[in-house]
Amino acid sequence: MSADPAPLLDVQDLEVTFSPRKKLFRERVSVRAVDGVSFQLHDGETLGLVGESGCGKSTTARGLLRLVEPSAGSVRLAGRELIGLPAKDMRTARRDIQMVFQDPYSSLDPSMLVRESIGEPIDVHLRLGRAERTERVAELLRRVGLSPDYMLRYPHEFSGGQRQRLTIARAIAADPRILVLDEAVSALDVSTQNQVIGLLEELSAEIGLTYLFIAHDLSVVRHISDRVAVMYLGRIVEHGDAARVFDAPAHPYTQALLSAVPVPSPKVQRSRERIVLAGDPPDPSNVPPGCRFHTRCPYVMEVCRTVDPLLSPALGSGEVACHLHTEGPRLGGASVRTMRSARQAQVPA
Amino acid sequence: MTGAAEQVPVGRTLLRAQENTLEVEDLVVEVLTEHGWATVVDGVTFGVARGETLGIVGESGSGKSVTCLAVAGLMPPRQTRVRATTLRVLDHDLTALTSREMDDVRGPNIAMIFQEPMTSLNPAFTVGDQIAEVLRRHEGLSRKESKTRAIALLERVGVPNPARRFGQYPFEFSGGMRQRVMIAIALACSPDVIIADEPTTALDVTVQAQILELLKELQREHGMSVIFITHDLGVVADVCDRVLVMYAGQIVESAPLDELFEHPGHPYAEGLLAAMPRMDDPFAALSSIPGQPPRVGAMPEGCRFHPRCAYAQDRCRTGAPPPLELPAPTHATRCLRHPELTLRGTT
Repeated sequence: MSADPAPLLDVQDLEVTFSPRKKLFRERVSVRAVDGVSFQLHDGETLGLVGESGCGKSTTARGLLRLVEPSAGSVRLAGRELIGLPAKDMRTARRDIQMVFQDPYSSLDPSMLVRESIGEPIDVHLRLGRAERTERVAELLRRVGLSPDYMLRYPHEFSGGQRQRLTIARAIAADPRILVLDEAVSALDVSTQNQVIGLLEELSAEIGLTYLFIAHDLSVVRHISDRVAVMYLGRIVEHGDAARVFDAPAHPYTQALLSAVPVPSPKVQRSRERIVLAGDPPDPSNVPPGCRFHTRCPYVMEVCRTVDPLLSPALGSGEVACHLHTEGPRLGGASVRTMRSARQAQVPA
Repeated sequence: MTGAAEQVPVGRTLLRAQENTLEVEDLVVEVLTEHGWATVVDGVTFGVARGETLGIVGESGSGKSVTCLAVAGLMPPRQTRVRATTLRVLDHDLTALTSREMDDVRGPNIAMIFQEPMTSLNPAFTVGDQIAEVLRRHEGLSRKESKTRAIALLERVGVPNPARRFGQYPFEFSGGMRQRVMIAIALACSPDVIIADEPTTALDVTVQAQILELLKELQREHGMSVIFITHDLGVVADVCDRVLVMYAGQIVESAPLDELFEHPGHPYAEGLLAAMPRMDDPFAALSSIPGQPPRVGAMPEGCRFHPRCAYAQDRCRTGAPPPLELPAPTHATRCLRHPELTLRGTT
């Protein structure tokens, strides 16, 4: 992505490789789940990371926090390189970048009082006295919209939405600058989901939090994100301002992905142009040569089967990795794909 | 109206028996909890016409899955009690059947597709065996015939290389392919009613689009009735003809698809519609329905939605709205204030 001055988080060519242990009579196949992912996150913005299961979006998040060790690349948090940092320093660095997971039922210790769960990061990073610590937990609970009285309860006494508020309270306990939200609202009913999104928006406005918002629900991503990056098989294939990516998607995969999301309006749904992709995403241990998407792409050209496309500027904002934009047929100076997606953008969705 | 319809109790609209493949009247399901028996589905009445897709929507815990499991006779017998005035598929009265007889109904008459295709398939048997088993059990086919038919079914649901895939195990299939296998099993005996319980919730959107297309095609071919349970109103807008909205174990609204979206009659339906984030309208504030659905065994007095309802009045807190009738008028709403409220839908 573009080299704006001093991004808060700068990820360059991140690679995460999983190598399963050698098994008797079976060839050892290593899987590059994240294959050269670069993006920047600026102070106060929300970047949406989307893609289908297995595309590497969660592994990217875990890799940049070093919850799995990346095999290559660089992650700079406020100018400081995280890759290669000794474990002790990494622990302090994590104060600035915290993660919220999908399942609020398994991310809280059932045997710990809420006060202890939320107090843990305070003990690790802030080392407050007892009274101050309790006061801080109370303030955190208030901030996420829960009563301070709840600190003497156990997780099982809370609903899914309340638990997700608790995990958010814990994530912001040590004043991080970035929250990585990995499908943080996906397990919740839509009404509860909206309340949690409302809370995230409040927190971003009040304490200037920056979000990396990972989700498969594109409607939610559209709502919350300033910018969006689309992943396919371990790579970012398109990124840009949320409005541009959603209204004028440049990559055939993004177009198919967006057209597959059913819109909750029967009239709109009947009139929409839908691209139904054939087949499943390919196996990440056996990535197709050339463009990774060519096996499912409705516009595949000869060059796509052999040459891996690089990211090039997309019309409007951001970049796209697709030969149609560089090698494809042209009409009036613009690539045919661009004209088509611009036309789609005019059709009221 | 037919003679059969005259047995219907006074006060209810007449049953049009031969039009509906499935009739459910006054279904009540109770489950055993630590505090005794609790009612989780309370007086649910609906019918599904031939070739119709009926959507059932509602938040988790609203009773939509339990309703369908009870209809298919799949609730565990010891911890649950199921009763209904009418439970009928074509001319089979399901209330009178033993569990052995119910086994004969499931397959040729009612088939189910569940959310999680990994846990619904037996990991220890080949996919082909699991389809062929259904054909041998219900259609009395031989081993060889059932294999030929199973391969044809796999091909029909879009599994590539069906002859080779026949001999493979579930773990060798992707999530979308497993769901296709589940559909092949459900389809094996050409059932009259297919109940699909969140069949695409665990799938990626591009795969979801494939599966929804497949279900629509198959329904056109076979003229089955489909009950489609989902929490995703986008999916409902894509596949359903008519929709039931469930809340706290009751149906609160029944309406044709477009009617529900454009002119919801129940405040809960209005709330659900307003809460759906829309890709085509990203700047609309995401609204939510305040509070939580009531817990099982702690149902509020009066209308069950009143503690969360913005339009609630005193009479809603004490008097329960009358139950929906069968067959409901095209658009029925279980709200005392329905005649006076103008609720907002979507466009």
